[in-house]
Amino acid sequence: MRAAPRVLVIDDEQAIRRLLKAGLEAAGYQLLEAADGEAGLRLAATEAPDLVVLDLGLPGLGGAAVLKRLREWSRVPVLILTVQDSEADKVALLDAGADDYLTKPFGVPELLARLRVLERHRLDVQPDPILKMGPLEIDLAGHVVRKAGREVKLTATEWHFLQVLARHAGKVVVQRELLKQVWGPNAVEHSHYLRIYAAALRKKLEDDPAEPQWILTEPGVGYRLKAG
Amino acid sequence: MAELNRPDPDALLAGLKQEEARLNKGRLRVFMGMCAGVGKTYAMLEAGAKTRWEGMDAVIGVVETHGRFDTAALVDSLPTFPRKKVEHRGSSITEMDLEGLLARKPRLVLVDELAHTNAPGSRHPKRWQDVLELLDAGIDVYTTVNVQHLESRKEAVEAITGVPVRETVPDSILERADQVEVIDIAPSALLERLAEGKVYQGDKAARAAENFFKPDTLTALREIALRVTAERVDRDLRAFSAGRGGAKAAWNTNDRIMVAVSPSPNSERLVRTARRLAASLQAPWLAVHVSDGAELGEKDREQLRKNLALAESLGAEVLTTADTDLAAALLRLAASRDVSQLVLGRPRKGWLGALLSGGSLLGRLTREAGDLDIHLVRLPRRQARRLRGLRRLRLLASPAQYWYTLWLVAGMGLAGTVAEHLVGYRAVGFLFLCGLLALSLFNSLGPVLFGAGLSALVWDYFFIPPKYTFIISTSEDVLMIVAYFLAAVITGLLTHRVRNNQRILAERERRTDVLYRLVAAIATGERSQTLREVSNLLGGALKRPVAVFLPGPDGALMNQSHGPEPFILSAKEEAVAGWALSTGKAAGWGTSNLPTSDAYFAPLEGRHGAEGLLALRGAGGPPLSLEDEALMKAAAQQLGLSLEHERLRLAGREAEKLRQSEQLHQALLNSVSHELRTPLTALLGTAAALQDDATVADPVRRHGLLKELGSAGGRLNRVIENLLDMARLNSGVLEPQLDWHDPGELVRLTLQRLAEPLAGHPLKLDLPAELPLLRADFRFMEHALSNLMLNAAAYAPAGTPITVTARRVGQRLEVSVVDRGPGIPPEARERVFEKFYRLPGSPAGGTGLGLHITRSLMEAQGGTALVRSAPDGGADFVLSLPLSAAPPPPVEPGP
Repeated sequence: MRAAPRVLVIDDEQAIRRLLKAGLEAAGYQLLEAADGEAGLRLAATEAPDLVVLDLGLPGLGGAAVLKRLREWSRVPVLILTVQDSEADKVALLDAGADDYLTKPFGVPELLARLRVLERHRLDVQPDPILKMGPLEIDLAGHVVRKAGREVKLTATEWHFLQVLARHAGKVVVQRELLKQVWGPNAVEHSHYLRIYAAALRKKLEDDPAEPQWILTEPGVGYRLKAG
Repeated sequence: MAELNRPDPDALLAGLKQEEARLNKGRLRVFMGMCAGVGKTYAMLEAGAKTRWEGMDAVIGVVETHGRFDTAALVDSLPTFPRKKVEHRGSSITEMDLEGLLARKPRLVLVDELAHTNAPGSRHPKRWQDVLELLDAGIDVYTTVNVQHLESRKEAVEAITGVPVRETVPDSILERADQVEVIDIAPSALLERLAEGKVYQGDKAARAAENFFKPDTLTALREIALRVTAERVDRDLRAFSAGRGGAKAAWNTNDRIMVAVSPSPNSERLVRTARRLAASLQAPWLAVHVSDGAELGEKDREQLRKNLALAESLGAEVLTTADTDLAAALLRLAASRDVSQLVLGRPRKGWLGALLSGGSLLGRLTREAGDLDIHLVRLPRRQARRLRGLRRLRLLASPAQYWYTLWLVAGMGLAGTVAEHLVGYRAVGFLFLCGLLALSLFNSLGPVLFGAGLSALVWDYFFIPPKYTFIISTSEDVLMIVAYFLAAVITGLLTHRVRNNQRILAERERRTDVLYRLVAAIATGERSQTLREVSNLLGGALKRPVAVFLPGPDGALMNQSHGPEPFILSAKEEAVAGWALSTGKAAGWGTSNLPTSDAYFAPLEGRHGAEGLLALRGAGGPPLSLEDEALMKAAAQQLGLSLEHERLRLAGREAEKLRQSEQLHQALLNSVSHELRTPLTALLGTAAALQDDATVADPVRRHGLLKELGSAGGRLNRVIENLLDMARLNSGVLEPQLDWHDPGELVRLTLQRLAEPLAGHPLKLDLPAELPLLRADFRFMEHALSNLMLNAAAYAPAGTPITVTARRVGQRLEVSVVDRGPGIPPEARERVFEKFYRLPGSPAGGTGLGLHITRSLMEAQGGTALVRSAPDGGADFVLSLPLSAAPPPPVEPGP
């Protein structure tokens, strides 16, 4: 394992780059900076960073185009920075290969948490079969979920739902992807299934289903199982 | 008394306005003579040459020298605009190049022979129409005309010379003229010139002398010419005394004249009489045609159109209507149009016709006319009339109908031979009568009359003794057969009339129906659909392709038809359409403007010019009937007004939008100065404070300042979001992305983001777990609710609780935000949702946009936002959305 993971930041705004530099270097990351898409792609090719933070609103070659070109040859985890605009755009980016997104304005701790998750996913090709988060323990191999040591009975669909989230623990799973994996490709429009099953899972797993701690909704985008 | 002699200010004003209108149009100077050879052309050229010397841009549009040397010499002193070649049936004719002149736009054009008929294929059939267009384009025109070519003098001249006059110009063109000059010459002098060969050369001169150039003829013509001028002088004088300038400022009598026009050539005479009467009384006049429902032959229709066109060109308002009862129709029209005098041809109906149509026309008119004056005009008898009558009968039925009638009579004859043995030969007559009655139910007049005659003969020949002769032996039988024949004919006529009436009624009903549907289509619906519908309806009614063409934003015609089928214009038709649109006059097929086009274009007249064109592909079919034409015009007018109305409304809305966006600009500036600057000040101030080492060293103060940084940033972010959403709403790009959401989760997620600004108020949540899923846009809902929450926090005293409730009310879901603030007075409960409205006494800051955005966001999702008073005095803002059908539960796959 290398000492300091290297993060490539592609953002035309110097203020944002400065903020990220301060925040990320303090957290032990090594920073590579690019002010536009072309430079970013060049750096990504020559320096092979461990993570990429990509601003969506780049001048010239836009963030979406950069992501597309990057994904042609690299599987490096990409975190997108976006202004809170359209959920459809975010979903499209996630579908296009982004690993996660963060809405501007954002706080540095939030950014660090997301980067940690991405890093873990990058390193753990084989995810830990047993996920632990707070009182919850999800045993993906054993098909068992335990809360405070006691097994919680789930229906097959509930388990399937939780399993998909757990496989991407800490990362957002897009609504359509969830629906496709749990209910099949014909169900991708039936977002209300998710509401019903998310509510059911929260009832069984959360301390206060009204204020969920672990099964989080990303409004308009999808769900995220909070990493422990 | 002095009061009365003072000019009427209104008349003066009208005069001034007319003068003003004239300034934009060309001036017309007419050189009039009693006949050819008086020197009109010479006088015109002389006057033209004079203006040329004065430096005016004068050109010769067209001048015929007829080989006269002195005239030809004058022609050379002026530039001649090259004529244009028109190919017609292999030969090429040269005509005045109207298009070229309009493009060249000289100050003055000399146009000889005003009454000239243009070669087919020209823009207008007549040269005087070319002249009018030149005048409309602001070009002055000098022109020449002989008195015999004046429409109103045509008959008088024909009577004097015995030579038919074929080419005429409407009198209205003389009225349009600013100056009319009579070129007068003594007949003896003219005859001298003719003899010298100065007028016509060779044998042409001899022929002319025989027909026209006789001293008494010339004297009479001279008198007519001088009288025309005298009338004009008289009228000018009257106009001058009425005010100044304007010729026909106002009708000075209460008279209104109506003339009844038929398809007879005699009607031309009637029209001219009516026009003279109207002119002498200075009264407005109308020409009406009452159709009796019978279909007119090609020739009659043409003649009728000519008669009505003549009336129109002489200044009449033209009306047509359909009714089998001529007298009733005339009286109805007279009453509705305040007609005081009626001009009629002497009726030519015989006693039988009068009897059948319920009394003679004249008798009924005089009986029922009230205070209507009736003028009877003697008309020359014409033999052709009768023939036309016969043709009409034939037109009413196909030869097949006569053929069937023949067979029916033969059949009745056979039946008669059988019946004769049982009931006797007299009863056979009744059998025939029954058959004939049946026939009249299905057949037109011709075959019925034919059947009546034929069956009478058959009865006589085969049944009435002595048989197989046409001789009738007893007087009773004579009486029988006469009575039979009369009964058959009268039955036929009556049935015919009833059916004709029905046809007219049905036709009128159909037209009314079409018109009604047209109006209904025009009144409602989206524009392109309306246009398609109108084209469809009209096309169906007129049985021809119809389409609407509208001008594009640059005023030129858009090459895009609004019709059920594509209506593709040829290059030529496009030019015709362009002309019709720019002049606002009907053009093309069947009109006098560019009639060689295959399509007819009626302008959609608004009050300020043509809003577009109604196009009809006419060539190949019969000409439009007068009723169809009226229908088309009515539709064009309705559509024009409606399009204009819409255009003005859109323009108004555009102006309103502009005003609002100006207001938005102002509000933006205001909020920039306050809403944006306040958090910015906090940010900058805090940042400055954090540079102070002592402050940074104190963890409590540092922490407070950092918190302030965050809160100011959050506030700035919310202001920006509101302004952005407002801009998006204004530009119409904000589209909700509807998805299923849990209302409780939606409220909680929103409140989570607002934790910091709401910190001063305890929140009470009432969010039942079993609320139905809501179909909404999450961001819209979040934004709407945030605005309500922030309002509540801003207006309610610190420390008071804010209650958020979500509940189902019938088929809606309501999220309500109740505060303990001052509440909203009832009269302002709608106004608070208006853009820029702020309650008097509101705290400083705020744009007056928040609630407007909230409501707009809700309405975009099919819901609404409203406010009511909370039980304990505060405001109770409610977001309300309809609940869609409950989504089907997901199917649990097998374990």
